[in-house]
Amino acid sequence: MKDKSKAASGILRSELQEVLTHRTETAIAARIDLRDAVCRYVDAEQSRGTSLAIIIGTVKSILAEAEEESVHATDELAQQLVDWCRQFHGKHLAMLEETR
Amino acid sequence: MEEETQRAPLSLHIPTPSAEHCERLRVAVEQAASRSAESMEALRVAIREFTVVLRDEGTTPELVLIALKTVIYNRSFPTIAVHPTEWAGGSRLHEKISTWCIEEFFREKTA
Repeated sequence: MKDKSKAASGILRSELQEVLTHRTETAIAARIDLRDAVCRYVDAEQSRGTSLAIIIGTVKSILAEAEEESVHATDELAQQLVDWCRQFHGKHLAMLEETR
Repeated sequence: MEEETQRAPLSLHIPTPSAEHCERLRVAVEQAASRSAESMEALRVAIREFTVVLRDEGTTPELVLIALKTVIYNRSFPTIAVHPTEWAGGSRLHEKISTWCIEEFFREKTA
């Protein structure tokens, strides 16, 4: 009887591990896609002369809308997006300086 | 006699993205943000379930965390390694995973 419950527990744990791994990889891939989408958007808006403050505000409001549909909102993603915007804006400015 | 004409330096004309193009990119960010939020929520649920099962088996919180990190880091996080700019975000994700695990471990069981 104990052996059976041990075996069942082992199977359950194995299944949970598989689900965990799959969902982690999915979340990472989605995060990378989001990063790339933010990069393209920031680059395009900067080329039109939009200020970083406005870009960041827009990206944060997009996130707020997306998280309204999710049960739990996280500050972590908002901070991540802001950091990406600043990183890409900094790169864009550096490139513009080099071409002068 | 050769006429040496001063030629103006070539300027590379990079067209300014149109408002419509920016709008399409903004929509793409919306869609990507939605998928990211959904996938993070699904991950959080999986972490909670994993934690609860191990906790109810009598595993200590330290060992639950180690088991969780072993599963995730060994198979999934090498994906991040190919994106150096992701390291900062990766560490935040690591912290979030650990937080979810500990929160769930010490959450009081509801009847």
